Amino acid sequence: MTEDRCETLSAFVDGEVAGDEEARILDGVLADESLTRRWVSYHLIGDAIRQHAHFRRGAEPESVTVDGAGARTIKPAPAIITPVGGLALAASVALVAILGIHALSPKGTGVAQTTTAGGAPVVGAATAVAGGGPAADEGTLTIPAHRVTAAASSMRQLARQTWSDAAPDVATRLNGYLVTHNEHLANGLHGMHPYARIVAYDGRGN
Amino acid sequence: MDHAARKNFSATGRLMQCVASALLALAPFVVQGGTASEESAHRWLAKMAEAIRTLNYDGTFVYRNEDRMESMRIIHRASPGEERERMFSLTGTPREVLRDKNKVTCILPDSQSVVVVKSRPRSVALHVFDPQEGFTRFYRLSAHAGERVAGRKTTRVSVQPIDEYRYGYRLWLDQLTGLLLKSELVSEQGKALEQIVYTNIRLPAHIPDDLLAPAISGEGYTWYSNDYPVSRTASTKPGDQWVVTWVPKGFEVSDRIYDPSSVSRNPVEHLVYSDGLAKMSVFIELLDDAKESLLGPSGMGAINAYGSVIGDYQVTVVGEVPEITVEKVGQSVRRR
Repeated sequence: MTEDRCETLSAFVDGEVAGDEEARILDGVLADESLTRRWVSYHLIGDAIRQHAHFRRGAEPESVTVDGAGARTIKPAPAIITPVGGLALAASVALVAILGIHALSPKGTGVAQTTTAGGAPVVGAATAVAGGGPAADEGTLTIPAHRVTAAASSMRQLARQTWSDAAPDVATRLNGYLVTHNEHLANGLHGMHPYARIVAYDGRGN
Repeated sequence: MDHAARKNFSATGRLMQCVASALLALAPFVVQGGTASEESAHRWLAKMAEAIRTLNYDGTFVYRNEDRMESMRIIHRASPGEERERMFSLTGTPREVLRDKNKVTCILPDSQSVVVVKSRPRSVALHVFDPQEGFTRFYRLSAHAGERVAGRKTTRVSVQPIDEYRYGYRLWLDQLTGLLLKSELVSEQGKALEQIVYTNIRLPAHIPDDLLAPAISGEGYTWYSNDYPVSRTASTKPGDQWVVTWVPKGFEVSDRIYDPSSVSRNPVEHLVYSDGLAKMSVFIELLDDAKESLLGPSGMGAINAYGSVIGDYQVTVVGEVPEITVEKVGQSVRRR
């Protein structure tokens, strides 16, 4: 893949391309599997960086250690790794996503639980971490294990599950609801376009 | 202007009068700033709503969301008293949705299923686009010149929500017909969450039946349909049991339906809430013992869902609204 194509794709993902040029790039991405894979990875990187922007207090976590009691300690790291070859991720993002950090809510009122969903980083918890917690000023955050519970005080902080990844019965029921709901959307501004989601997802994440 | 003045009107004056009249006729669609921009946006939206339903069009577009990019084709035929349309994927496993005046059929090979629901009559109430009514209390509208899309000049209409409980839209409309050529669903912060971009579009005078016939038969698939009598009756009259105690400002019940689930055949109470633009559905269904339930947030593209169980019932909120909205609405459902 040429460097020019990578730069063009990167600009496209960042929303810096418009009009007929955008359509031309879209056709190209869909026709080239390697470009499609790179597009997906760029989106994951971009989403992760945006969701973790609040986590940055001049340094990113470089390591997460777990003590004998199960508490996780996040130590800031020096820099974000620039994406190379479509596989690199921002260090903080990768660590939080992969390890599924359990975070302390700012006022200690509850716990947010972070899990990955469909391979994409989900960071409801990181908001809480950045807002407070022990030793925050020192750039190191320790989350006591006893604070981790399965039920979050705010469901908003639970991972949003793509329903194609849900149990088959649940996914099928949701599909039925969505088709019924879409009929009300289709009577509005967008005609049949809301059905594009169903065509794109097909209830099995394929 | 009195009779003498009219009689003495010069040729130049008549020409200027013609030009002025032509400009006034085009005024609704002239893109300006400020209040005129908002009124222009309303007229463009009304033009779009009409074009989507009344024109024949055959186009290819790309749907983008999160990590998904799919190319699709849509064919729409409008004839007196009937609309027929078909949307199908051009990438990956063939999947398609067909719609006519009676039903919507979703053929989904990957899940080996076909979902059929009754279609609703298409009649967008144009009063919602009146600047003094409808959804304008909850959104800020503007219209500006847009870039070319699918080789056609566009006007870009922005619909910006006033709070975090709604999404906004950026719409690129064909300047000639008003047809939607590109749309973005955006967050309150203006981030594009979902996008549709046409790469080409045709407006044929005639669309043959074979273009609207499905390419997949669905033979051997599991068929789900809500077009049959309810096999089990609710223990109380519909509407007696449930109340939604919180919705965002401006959302009102626009429909209340009691239809069997297309999947389980159980009775489902379906409330539709709308602020004039955005819509949410609250589904309350009696759960079979063997059925798994949805708990918490879920989503597909820009559609968010929230599930909870109250007694023997699954409560599910589905909407093209932010996650926080379906969550708060779902948590507010109570049994009387």
